[in-house]
Amino acid sequence: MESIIFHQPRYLGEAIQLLHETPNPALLAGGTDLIIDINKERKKVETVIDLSRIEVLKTITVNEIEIEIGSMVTFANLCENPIIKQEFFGLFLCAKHFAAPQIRNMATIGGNIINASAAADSVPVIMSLEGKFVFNSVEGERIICAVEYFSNYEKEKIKPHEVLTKIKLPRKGYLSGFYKLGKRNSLAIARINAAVSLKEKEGVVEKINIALGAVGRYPFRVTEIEKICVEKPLSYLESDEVLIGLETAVYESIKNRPTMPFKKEAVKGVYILALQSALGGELNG
Amino acid sequence: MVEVTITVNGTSYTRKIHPLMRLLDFLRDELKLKGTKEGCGEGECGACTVIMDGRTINSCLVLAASCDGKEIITIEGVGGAELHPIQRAFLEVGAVQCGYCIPGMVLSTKALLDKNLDATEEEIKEAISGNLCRCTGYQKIVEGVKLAQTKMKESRGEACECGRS
Repeated sequence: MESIIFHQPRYLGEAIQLLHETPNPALLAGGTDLIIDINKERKKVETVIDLSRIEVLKTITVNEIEIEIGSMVTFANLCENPIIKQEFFGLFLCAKHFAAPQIRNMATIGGNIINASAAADSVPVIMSLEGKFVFNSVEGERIICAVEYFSNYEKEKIKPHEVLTKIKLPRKGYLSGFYKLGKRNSLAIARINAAVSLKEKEGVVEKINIALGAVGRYPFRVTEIEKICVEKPLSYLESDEVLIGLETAVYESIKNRPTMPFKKEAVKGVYILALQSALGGELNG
Repeated sequence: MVEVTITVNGTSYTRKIHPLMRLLDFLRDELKLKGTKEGCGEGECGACTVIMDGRTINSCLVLAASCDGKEIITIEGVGGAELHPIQRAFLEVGAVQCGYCIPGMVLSTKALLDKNLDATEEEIKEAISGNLCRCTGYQKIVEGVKLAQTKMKESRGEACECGRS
């Protein structure tokens, strides 16, 4: 085996400096993807920067307007955080049903985002909650909306000298939910998932955000459908107009893929279960 | 090479290792603790489960270099001179068939019961959901975990709800 350089910085500034000075470093977060890729020789690395000792990346902090989730917060940590369960129920559900306990104990929200898998569970939830990503580098801080990051991925994706440090979610009091359809419940990688965040007043929709995952190269929001739901009664959210709109969105996104006929049907049930989990607590099994 | 110090089953080990050595290989090849098994090598099967700082992890997905300063429990560290109540319970109910998944099953059970001795059947199934049994002996394994709960409560003097124990 050739020589590999392994860094384990304890401070964010140290990591940022290493990123600046090192050509093509592999950033190690939870390792649940990277270690497999290295071991199966799908990825060659020369320098590894292990982020697991940087305490500031493992914290969840709350202020009046937002919650800041460090990129090295694990899915197990997300499940255990009372504010996430109370105010960001969709994210709680996503974390609770994320893979098996051993993976939840290691896999990080930052790793899930940066891998940019079409089926990344946390991304639709963060999109529906109007979340933002915070990147740091020697040049300073870059903040970008999750929706914009993925809708313009080639331009906005993480730069070689950057590190994702935080995910910011505004405390808007949204009712939020999430549902994933996999082959084996939570253990499986999502075949399709949906996240819904909404605000209602006296049974009327004031605002709704719907994000879909695993139905395109990256998760996305269905803004056209969201718009037509505003100022409608809650019952409208399960109407044929909305469901057909979702079916059309999925068709347009993956019309040339063999999974399209299945997914354009499945999205309707997945969305309704996500919606119901937002409105009525957990129906996610 | 990087130097790491990892506490395994209560003993501190310092070794110079390749930076990309997995914890699984550290345990099996460096420390010759062969109870931790490699199954899929992809974090799917749970055969390589160990407990790190109180939480279960797949040792095939963790670099040993990342574990510097951590405390690991492997199957060899679960019992002492005698078998652990979880191990006795698994044997008594016949939860062990080929045995390959059992070290991981026992460690997932231990991590659960150390935190929640009153875990429900649903919680038990969730706790071992990352451990696949290729003999498909799940029913007996769940029975084994339930018997382990009783045994562990007995050893803590909590078996009798009337308070006489």
